[in-house]
Amino acid sequence: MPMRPNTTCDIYRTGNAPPAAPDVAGVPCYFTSCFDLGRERGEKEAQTFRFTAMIYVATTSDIRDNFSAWTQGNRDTVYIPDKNGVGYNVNFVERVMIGQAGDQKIAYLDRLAVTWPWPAPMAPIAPVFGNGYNYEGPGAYWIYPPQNVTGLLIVFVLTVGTGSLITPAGWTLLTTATAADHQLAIICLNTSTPISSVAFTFTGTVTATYWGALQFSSAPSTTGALDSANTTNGTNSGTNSVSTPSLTPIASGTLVVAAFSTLTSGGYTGGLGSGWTLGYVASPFVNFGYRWVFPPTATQATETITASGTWTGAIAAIK
Amino acid sequence: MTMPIPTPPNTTCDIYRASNLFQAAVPIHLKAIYPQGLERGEGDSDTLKFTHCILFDQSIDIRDAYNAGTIGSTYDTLYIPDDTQTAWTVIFVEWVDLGYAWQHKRAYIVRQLPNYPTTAL
Repeated sequence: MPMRPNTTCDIYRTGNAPPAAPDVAGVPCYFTSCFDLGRERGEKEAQTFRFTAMIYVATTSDIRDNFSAWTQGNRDTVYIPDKNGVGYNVNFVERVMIGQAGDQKIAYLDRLAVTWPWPAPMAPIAPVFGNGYNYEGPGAYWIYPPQNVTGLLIVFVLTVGTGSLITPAGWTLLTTATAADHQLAIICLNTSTPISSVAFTFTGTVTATYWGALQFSSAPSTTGALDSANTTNGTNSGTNSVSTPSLTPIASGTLVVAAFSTLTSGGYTGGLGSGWTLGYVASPFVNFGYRWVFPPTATQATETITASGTWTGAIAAIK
Repeated sequence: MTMPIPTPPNTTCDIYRASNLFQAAVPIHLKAIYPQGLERGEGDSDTLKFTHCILFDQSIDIRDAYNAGTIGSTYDTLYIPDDTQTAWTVIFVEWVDLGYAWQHKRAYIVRQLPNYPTTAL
């Protein structure tokens, strides 16, 4: 769709509502709030024609109003980002820019009551490190995964002073042997219950960082498949190895990280190969490994990890 | 992410929920938009009309009672800059620039009677 989606929605036909399964699930959309505009437009109209938000969806998305020459009936409701989110009546759907690059649908929505506190919205979490998130100094940070996920890894490369670094508990701080000016902080959301947001806070004298998030499996299984949204980060692992085909050549100074889930009982049992450090985060479900390509100054073609057993994983290079 | 709202806070508010102090000294950016509120809300009941809006960090829990054009009774009341000063009623809360690094929230609010003399307007 022409507008880059910033969330998704679940669509329900009349007579269907959460917690039942939606009629159309996980529709990518660009959501924008417009309460102010919506009070102006249609100010003399019935509420069934008025709106507080809009979503842009692909022309193939099946979203329906019941508008007929200024009568309104059994229209769809949508829930953003999913059925656990906030509901909206679909008061009007239109198609715009037909035949052009911007061809898409716009749905005008009227918000329903919120079950407070507001469910986490979705800011797409970039599966490639450093894409979409900026460090802006000590303070509170939030991440909203693209869906309720398990197996989410967040990595930071930091230059830090003494004192506390990250709260709350659950963070692991590692230091590398080859890059004294950097520290590596990781959090791994090792939960079998899907989560939709995570909050954390930097304190102390954090002065620089590079960070990103790597979702490596939203539904771990014994099939060994990467999450479909994350395949650009590495080859499908299956068993034994994953490499970095999309990241070559890997420059000096690069930090290569890998997140993987051992699916056999007893946790991780293999080796990561020469130069890798294993960061045990939350065995057995989530493991984390990292390695600095630093020095030599020369680039190298690929980086590979190996592990025994059956596992899923993703690998990415940062810095 | 942090609170990178394009307009940094210029005051604070105390949030009251069901007549109880919920959170004090919350940083917000207050904007007076009385003419805009009159124009936008000219077809609305008084419960939907606003005089100001505030921008605030996404982690701040400010609540409205909007439901498809009707306003219930469970909205928050804000006191700006604190609960010794003027009260505002929360009409509507929404997200701004969802998906961007600076995503944040906006609330449309309506001013109540100040305790004059005051600068809390």
